[in-house]
Amino acid sequence: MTLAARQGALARLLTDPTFEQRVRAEPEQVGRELGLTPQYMAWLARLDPARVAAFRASRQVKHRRRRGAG
Amino acid sequence: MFPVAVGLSVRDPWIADLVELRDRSAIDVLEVMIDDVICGAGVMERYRQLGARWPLIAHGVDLGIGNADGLDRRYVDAVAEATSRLRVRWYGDHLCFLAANGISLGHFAPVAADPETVERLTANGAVVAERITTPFILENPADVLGLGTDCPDAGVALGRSFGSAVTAAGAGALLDVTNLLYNARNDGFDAAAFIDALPLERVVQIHLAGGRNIGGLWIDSHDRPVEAESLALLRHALARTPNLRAVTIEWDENLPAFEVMLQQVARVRAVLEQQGRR
Repeated sequence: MTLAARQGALARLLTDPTFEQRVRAEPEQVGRELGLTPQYMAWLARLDPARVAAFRASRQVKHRRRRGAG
Repeated sequence: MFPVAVGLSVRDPWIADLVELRDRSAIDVLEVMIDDVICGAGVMERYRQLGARWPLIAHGVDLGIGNADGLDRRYVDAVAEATSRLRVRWYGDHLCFLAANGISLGHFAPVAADPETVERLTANGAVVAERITTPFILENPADVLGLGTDCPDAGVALGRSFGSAVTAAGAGALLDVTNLLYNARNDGFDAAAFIDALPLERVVQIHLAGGRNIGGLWIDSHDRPVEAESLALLRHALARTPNLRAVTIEWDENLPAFEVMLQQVARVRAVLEQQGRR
């Protein structure tokens, strides 16, 4: 399991609600497809949905600030 | 211990106030957003005006020192040029990754200090050191995901992890005590233990800000005055950071009048005076 694979999966989960749902529903299958360990997938699947939503909200604020800063 | 400067992170609406401020001694140092300098026409000249009045520190948000795919070298070169032209004292960014697998997050995703990450931080830190001559420091970001908090003594573990990461990157440390306070509140760990577990001689700068509780989570929204509990953590850090040089206050949303920022600076200065750091 490479660092790039771990970061890629986390980045996708944080930006793609469909992928997030799939990770929560079938973490082992997603892990096999992406070459990630069951332990890492279990951590991803356990991430509190409210915290993932908070990350997305903060991300939106940062993007808005950046557009404002132009 | 060095005397510690106190200042604020510059935002556009305050630049005219800063240029016209008669009592220059009300502020010791200014932090400038290096990404604004790189992207914004005319920003360099405005910041150079400020640099004629106060020492400048550069702060960025786009480096992604933890990126597994490496750094954007054009960005690193742009930072090198801007920091050099502004003659900043040092340059800071966040311990995080920002992009992976073709996805640009544009927001700080957490990194641990496992062996592969440490190796990557060392490689990315070497790129920074090779291209940016200004001293480099890394900040502990806010982490709403709570990476690494599901263990006993998480404060100690997270402090050691941040210290290992900073050391691997060959960087100094920028301790954001408000990020630390909110991470600790969200995940129930001991913020003071985090500070005690750091390589404290590496701490060069401290950030302060004010945030809010949104839906049960503390968020570093940078839209309120600094809380008393952040100042208490600042006091804890001041007694343990012999190489600390500056404390700066950040405010990004619902910007207050410039006078409010001067009051915030004065409040922090009073804490430093009480602690014998001025």
